[in-house]
Amino acid sequence: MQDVLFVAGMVAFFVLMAVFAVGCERIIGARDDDCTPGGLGDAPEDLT
Amino acid sequence: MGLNDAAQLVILIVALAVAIPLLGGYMARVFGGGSAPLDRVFAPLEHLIYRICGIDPKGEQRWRTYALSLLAFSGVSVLVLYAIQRIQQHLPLDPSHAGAVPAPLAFNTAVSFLTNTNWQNYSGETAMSVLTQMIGLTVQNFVSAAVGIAVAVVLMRGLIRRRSSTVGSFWVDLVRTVTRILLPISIVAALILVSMGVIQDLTAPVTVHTLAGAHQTLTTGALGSQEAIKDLGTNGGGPTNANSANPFENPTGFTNLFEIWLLLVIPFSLPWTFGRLCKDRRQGLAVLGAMAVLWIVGSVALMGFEAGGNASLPHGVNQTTASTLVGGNMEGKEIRFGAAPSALFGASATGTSTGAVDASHDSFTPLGGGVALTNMMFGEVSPGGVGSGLYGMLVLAMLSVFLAGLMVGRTPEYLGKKIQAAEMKLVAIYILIVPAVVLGFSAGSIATARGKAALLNPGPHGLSEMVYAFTSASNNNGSAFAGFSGNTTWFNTTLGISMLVGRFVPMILVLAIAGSLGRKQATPPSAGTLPTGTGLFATLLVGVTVIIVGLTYFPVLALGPLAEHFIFHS
Repeated sequence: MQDVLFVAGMVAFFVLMAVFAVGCERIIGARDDDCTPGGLGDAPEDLT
Repeated sequence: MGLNDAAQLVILIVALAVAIPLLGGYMARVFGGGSAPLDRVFAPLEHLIYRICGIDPKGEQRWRTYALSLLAFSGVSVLVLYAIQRIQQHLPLDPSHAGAVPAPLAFNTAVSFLTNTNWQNYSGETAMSVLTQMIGLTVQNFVSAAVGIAVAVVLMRGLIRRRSSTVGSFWVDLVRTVTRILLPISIVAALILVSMGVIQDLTAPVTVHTLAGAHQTLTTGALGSQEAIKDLGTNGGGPTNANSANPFENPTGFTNLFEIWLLLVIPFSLPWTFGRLCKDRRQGLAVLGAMAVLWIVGSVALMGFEAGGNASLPHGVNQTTASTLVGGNMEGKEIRFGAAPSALFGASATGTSTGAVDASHDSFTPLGGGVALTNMMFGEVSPGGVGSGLYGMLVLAMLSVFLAGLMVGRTPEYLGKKIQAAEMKLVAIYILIVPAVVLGFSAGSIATARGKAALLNPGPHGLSEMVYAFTSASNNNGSAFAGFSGNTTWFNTTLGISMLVGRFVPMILVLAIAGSLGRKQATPPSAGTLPTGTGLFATLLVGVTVIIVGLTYFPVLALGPLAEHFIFHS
């Protein structure tokens, strides 16, 4: 019985975390239409 | 603190200063996307793993896919580790006939090693089979450390990339971290440790007759290989109950210093990697400087408190260091190390989210124990765990530029990326979630009879023991204050929940921040931009870290370690 509870608890936690990730996506907004995989390249020439 | 103690600290700093540019530069090549040293050695091995697992080595993931991959990998890992413990009596390599681990303890241990916490409510000598130690716990020591580094790498990419919809591949980052960083260094470190006397075999425990005529059972097993990754991966879960105080794990003063170096080398090298990847070493040095200040101040303070002696001993007891006397507060410490080096180990372990101990933290002086507690309360950023230290400090850096922007009207930007409302919401949750878990569970436990029954000391020291347990678990440190009976269903469960929340909620927040920042275009610096690659910014970062911790935890520190100190001296 304890095994079932702990296994179910662990599975439920990771499902909850997946839902939390969706919530974070809502906070930052999912718009990346003007983005490309990997981005425009390396860091800017001068960050200082 | 004597000359010998100070010399050990200086030697350690010099050894780290030599290693940081080498390892930090190497890691920048590994994660930089181009060719890396020893490609001819590692690439065939990695391609074999990619082929077996069906991984596209050039594939990139959006941040949410990256997070889901991380969660899926961690979810499967924890279930497998739980199952191994529950059926270990039916598996090979169980010479001590350990038997099945009870369900609550198996849950706590599986979560503990998954989350890089390594809190141990069990005695390694009797509870775990050799197979469980090797394919369960040691494997998690590698992959949990690699997951932490992968998340830090993603945050670096988020800060560096411009208009990128992707943040890298979790599977590639995981594999490359294990094959190119953790495995090679661990193999070399294990060989060094074994050559210095750490044992490494697969035989059953040995029973010997002591000179006094008693029987004693001596631990055996693959201690050397587990010891290396235990320290290097800032894990801390040792194969023996006494951890690094056991002479089979940590036999000499040299191995003690070497193990401290192993704890610190990756967390301190990652800011260098950060500086290299963003093509501005000053950015990395500012973060490194802030980490170093917190670690050195904590180490010197803890060494000083322990070298100063034990105030509870009767007046007139000689505790000064002499040629025939170790000196200092020696309760709970190994004579072969001494008080101050044990304190240096304690400060470095609690500052790096490592659960390893070479002395009983419960026996530290009240202020010494308070320093260890505070190190963890910083959120493990001094210099923090592998990966988690860097991403924790970078989150604090974003908070710092935001606060500085509010104070002086500067634009909140970090590496050219605007820090806006979305990022600050995620940072705020990051800052609040762990203290909420620590203080909530501590208060809930101290208010109940079953919680108080676990404490072996009354008064402020008992409160410190309770708060230490949840602080250690939630910040994924894993060291124990001792004096605390944590192997109950209540504490196995609540500490396990603390570890899970303290590990994965911050990680998802960091991945979300990275995803958000990576999509942005970098803006060129202007007169309104706060320079973040300066000593002034490093000072601001230290100040913000200390103030956040002070505002959050000072009341409980006052009721615990500080009250105990004043009681001792009243």
